[in-house]
Amino acid sequence: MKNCRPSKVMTAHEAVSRYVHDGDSVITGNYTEGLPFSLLFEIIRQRKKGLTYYSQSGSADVEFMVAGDCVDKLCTAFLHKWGGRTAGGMVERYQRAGKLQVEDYSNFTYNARLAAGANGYSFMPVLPSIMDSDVFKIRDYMGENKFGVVRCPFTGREIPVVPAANPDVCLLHVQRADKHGNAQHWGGLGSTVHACLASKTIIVSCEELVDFDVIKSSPHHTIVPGFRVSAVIEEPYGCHPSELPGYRNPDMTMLRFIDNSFSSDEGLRSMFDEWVYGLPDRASYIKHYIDVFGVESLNRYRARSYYSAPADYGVAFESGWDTYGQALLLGVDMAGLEQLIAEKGDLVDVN
Amino acid sequence: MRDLNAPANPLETLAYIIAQQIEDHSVVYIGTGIPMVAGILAKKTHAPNITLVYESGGQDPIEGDMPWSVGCPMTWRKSPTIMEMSYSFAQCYNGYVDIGFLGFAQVDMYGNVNTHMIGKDYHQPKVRLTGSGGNNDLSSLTEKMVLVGLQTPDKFPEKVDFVTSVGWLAGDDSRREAGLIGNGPAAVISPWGVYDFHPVSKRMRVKSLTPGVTFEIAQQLTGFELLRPEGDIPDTKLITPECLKIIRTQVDPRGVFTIMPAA
Repeated sequence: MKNCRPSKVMTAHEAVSRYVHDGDSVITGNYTEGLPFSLLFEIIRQRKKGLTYYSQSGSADVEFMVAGDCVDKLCTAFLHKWGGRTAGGMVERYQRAGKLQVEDYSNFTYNARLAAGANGYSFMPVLPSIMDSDVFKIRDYMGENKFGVVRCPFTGREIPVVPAANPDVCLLHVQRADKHGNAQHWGGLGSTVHACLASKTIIVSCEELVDFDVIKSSPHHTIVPGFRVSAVIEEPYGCHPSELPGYRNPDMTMLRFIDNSFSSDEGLRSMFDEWVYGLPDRASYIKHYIDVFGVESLNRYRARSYYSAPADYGVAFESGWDTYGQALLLGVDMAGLEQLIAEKGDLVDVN
Repeated sequence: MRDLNAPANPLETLAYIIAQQIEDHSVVYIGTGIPMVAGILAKKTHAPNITLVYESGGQDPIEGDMPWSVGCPMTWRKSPTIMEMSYSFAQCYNGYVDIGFLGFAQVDMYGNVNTHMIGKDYHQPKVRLTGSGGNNDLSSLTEKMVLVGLQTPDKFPEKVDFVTSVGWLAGDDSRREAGLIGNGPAAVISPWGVYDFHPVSKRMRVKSLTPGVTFEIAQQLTGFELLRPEGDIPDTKLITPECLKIIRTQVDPRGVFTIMPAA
């Protein structure tokens, strides 16, 4: 049969307009490295509204999505403190203004929600110390459903549980993928795999689109099977200014620029006008970066290569004959087999 | 290049004291910041055989640059394994991790920790902090838990604004009665003192103080009544010139975590 799996390659603009809808729950699959900024910028540019945004170790991704007025609800375990001690980040400003609801989990309990989702369970047990903390007691938009308590049928102990999370859309940036969506990512994965596999729709952007031959020779790097992926975008620098193993370190020049933009509300807005709304796509973003900061700045953070040793996936093709000349399944040698054929000729299919 | 002759600052002092808590051959869960400096310092000095565990999955990286966070590539650069987060935490759950360090913005008299927010109402934070990250998780996972941070009366209040991680809860037997596993916080370390908890009441008690700091000074830096140990209060062992040099030249030469922020 002819191989007729379609290509899922498209642009970030097409992927976001096709698969991200107002009111969806959206998760950044990447944990702290390789944050999918190109896709996030596209969501902000298309002014998506009313999203529930999941980000485990939130950084500029959360601040941007909130400042872009895309997010009503935020589920997180950690938020990097942007904007210094005086200005503060957009999350706390929006929270104070009553424009953002935040549900706080711990790393383990946040991850457990995704692990439950990825496994198809409706809930997952977590560790008891959460029960006496305010993480457990203080509820925001999830209310009663933030945590539950069950009794273990084997020990009789009370165990806190978290509900499964199955976000509508997962945004993922990886080193390489093929046109079918097989996505390969290596490095500090954190909760990336659970985030992807728990989600209903997965959009993958990658530094390089590679042939299927590359994927099939290194299956240990594939974290999402192609059939789960809806869109693939070849997007060099798709995670800039965050880091990606094999490609680059965090771009401190850009991160410092972003941090300085928090000093006033207006600052982040003019930063958006220049870098998000004012540019159509990632290629023009990088071109603009070079115009502003110079190509030397971009290259300063480029990774020095350190290659993994290739893994030998070879197998011996199995023979049906053992070293004594016996057919393993029939327990006879060649003469015995010939005799069987002679006796039961019509019944033995040697085609 | 850092000034090698300057006297040790509070962050360097803190890193050294924490490093002294780490025994060789132990498995150590490392959080972002000063615990990283301490872990790498211990590994380069008295404890070369420890295993450093980071939550993003990196484990035992070779000596490299100072990571800027627990998700940074330096936490797994040339390391023999990179795990996913759930397995990294599961190692603690199963009892394989000997000691973990938790940072705090506030700690109270029973070792309960806050890293979430400052203010009276969670929904209306005066200041929004980072949130739990792995803080709550490690508080119930590691065999020995050490709390690390700076010390002022605001940072050592009688009651924290938000309980991110449970220490000894309300003291006495309350932690055990609540059914918590783990051994509870063993110590609190600030640049000015090392504190433990009274074995019965579980209230914070002075264990040793940085030379020059008296009990009275420590009390003034604390928002609740500290317990005084029996007998004389020993001095905390101060950072040696050799270790200070190692921090400044090998562990954190760019001063990511051990240069004091400008006031």
